[in-house]
Amino acid sequence: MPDAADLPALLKSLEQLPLPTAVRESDWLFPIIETVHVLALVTVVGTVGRLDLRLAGLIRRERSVRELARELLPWTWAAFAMAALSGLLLFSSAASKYAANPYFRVKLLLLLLAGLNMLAFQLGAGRRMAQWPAGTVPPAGARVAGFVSLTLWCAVITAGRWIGYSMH
Amino acid sequence: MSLHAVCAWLAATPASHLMQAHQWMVPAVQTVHILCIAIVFPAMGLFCLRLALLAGSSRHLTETARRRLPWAWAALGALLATGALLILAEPTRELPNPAFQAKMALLLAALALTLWCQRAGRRPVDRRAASGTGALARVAAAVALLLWVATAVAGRWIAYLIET
Repeated sequence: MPDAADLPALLKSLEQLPLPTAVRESDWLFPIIETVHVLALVTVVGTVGRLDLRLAGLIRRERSVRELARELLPWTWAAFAMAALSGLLLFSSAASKYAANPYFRVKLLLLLLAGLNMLAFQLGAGRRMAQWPAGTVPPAGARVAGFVSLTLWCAVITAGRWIGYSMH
Repeated sequence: MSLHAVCAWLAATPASHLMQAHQWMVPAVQTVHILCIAIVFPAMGLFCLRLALLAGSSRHLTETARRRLPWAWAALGALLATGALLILAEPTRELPNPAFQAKMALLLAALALTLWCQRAGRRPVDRRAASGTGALARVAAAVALLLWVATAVAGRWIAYLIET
């Protein structure tokens, strides 16, 4: 067993596990998992983006933020779980190569920032969500969170698309 | 003119040359394409799913069908435009590709069925009950949902079935 601090060796041993090896060696597994990844991530970005646009005050306001969040977020989380799981499988099939890829690193950083932005919103402006009635634009803090989230998710997709062009 | 000749002609246009000369252009257009899919796919998917699952409640069926999905239709326009650019940039990657041809057929079927569901759902409740369109519209919506998924799947497989 390699030392936990020895990341290169850890990534190598991850690649050698049975499932990552199967993904790497099969002609079909990688494209199939990648297809699941794309279906999941468009669902994540499509649903979270709609909520972001509502937070930012850029779409129709006839439904309250809370109502929209209740409808969309279960889909976001289910799809995110699928995207994360399929992404982990794709990563593990060539862990060392992905870990060294600058676009992959940027994508992880952007995902982390999107998570932190969401956390800041939940702990900050979002706590008073119940008081934002339908038909109104949320307060400035929430609008900023919406804009930041939208920007970060677009950047995540961009970085992800570039991984595919830089892995050869 | 054969498909091969069409590809050669498209690839010889100045616009195609421009996109071939700058390597970042194709992935950039693909990124916009995927962002548009992120608008269209969940919108159409949730719309079809909602229609398919509404067990007999005609009022909700009508309400759901009334939603005109303005964002989805606008994004679909942008999808077609970016898709056209991608064909122009790499015509032999797309036009003769069986995954691309399947994608276009699936897209047309998904679009036609979604529009039909929307129209069927909008009909007055009493007429719908008499003609049994409610149940039919729900089955059609479920099929439309599968067709949207299949369209996206075929799109992803273009990259794996390129003619060499």
